Amino acid sequence: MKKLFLIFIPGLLLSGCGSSESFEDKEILEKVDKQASKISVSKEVLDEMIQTLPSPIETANLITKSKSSFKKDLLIPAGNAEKFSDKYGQALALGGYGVDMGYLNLNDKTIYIIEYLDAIRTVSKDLKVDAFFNFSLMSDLAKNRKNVDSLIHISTENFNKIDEHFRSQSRGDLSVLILVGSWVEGLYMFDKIALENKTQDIVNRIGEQKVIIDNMYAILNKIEHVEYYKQLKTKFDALKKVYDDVKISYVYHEPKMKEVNGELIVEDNTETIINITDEQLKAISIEINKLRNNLFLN
Amino acid sequence: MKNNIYPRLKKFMIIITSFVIFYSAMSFNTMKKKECNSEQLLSKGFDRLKKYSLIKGYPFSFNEKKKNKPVEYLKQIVTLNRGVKYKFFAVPNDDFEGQPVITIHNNEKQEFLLATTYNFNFKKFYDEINFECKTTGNYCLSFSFLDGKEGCAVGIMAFLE
Repeated sequence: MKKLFLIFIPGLLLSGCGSSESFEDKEILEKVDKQASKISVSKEVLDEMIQTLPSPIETANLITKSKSSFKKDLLIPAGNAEKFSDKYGQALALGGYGVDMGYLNLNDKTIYIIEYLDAIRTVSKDLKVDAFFNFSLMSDLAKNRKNVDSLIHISTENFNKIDEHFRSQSRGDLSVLILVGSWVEGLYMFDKIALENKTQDIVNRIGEQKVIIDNMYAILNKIEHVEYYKQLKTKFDALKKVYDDVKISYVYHEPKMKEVNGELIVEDNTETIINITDEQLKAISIEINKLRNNLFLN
Repeated sequence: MKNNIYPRLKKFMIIITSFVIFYSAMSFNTMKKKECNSEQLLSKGFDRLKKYSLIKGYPFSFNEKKKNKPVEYLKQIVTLNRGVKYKFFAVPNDDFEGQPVITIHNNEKQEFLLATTYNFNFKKFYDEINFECKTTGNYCLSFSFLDGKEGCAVGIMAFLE
């Protein structure tokens, strides 16, 4: 059976570019905080939607799979950790540093792990989730490259616990920010890899992020009645607008299945056709750099 | 006459007390049996991962379905990435009768069934699904219990590093 089904996502005529407003205005922050406690989306809906965003370790895994050479300058400087002055920025940074940490782990760069553990400790302490990390154990593990698998397991477990904690406190929006932060950092890395070595695989990887930005927008639409999320969504507008013109179509074929030792091995045979032009790639590159600078470096 | 009442009353009280103790013990056992601790199940699932990294555990539990009612299920949209090998399996609480079933459909509308831990044609269970994803996109997972039996389990989603 073969069926062609196209995804057409209507182009949204979104105006405006990334806002350059500082998060450090205390009055705004207090107002935002009060509003955040009034997030009207049901916990169940937010919980379900959060699952449509990739976790930091998944993003780091995809970057490592691209087989590009390791580059430390792709990472958010660890020293920036203290600059994130409110919990929104800290949650975004936790996601960004989470990808960086995964990237270091998956590339066996234990030499840099300690400074990034410190960065994670700083932002997580301000977010009051540092109790979920066993930093001394992680520092010990980081001293030996043989422990990389354990470090990855522990890091993933910690991020899952933080996510559960935020959701149990009805602050699933902060979990969203962690995932948004990790996605921004991931797309920035894909872009830098593409600039160095533009393979079709990495181009497709950038193009298919349309799925994720659409999911992200769907969540931000639900919580944009909170001023902070309205501003955040505005910052994504320009990038979203570029992605609206990227076309993805799918051709479905029956998956191949076989049973091995009681396990069902399923090979998905769906074909994906991604139409992305060089101009769109350039525009994505410009916008993701602006966005990342705005979120992590300013 | 009055003398006969006390032994009878005593006997009656012993019977009543025995009943109370018996039913209390029964209900305690039932409560204990019905306990659905997802933390323990998740921990068991973690031990089965080997080279895979946990993405998420999905606790799910349902009461036995009523006659003429559809089987209840937990539906979850997730995004899977092209080129990644995913593993899905369920860790059931064996105190419950329900045998967990996980299915994967291609999108939110559940147009095509891509994989399931239970083959309805052959009435066969698979321990887990290893899914090699070729298309980045939204997929629909569903978690239920075979024939709508009462059950308690955690669904595990993991990826190969």
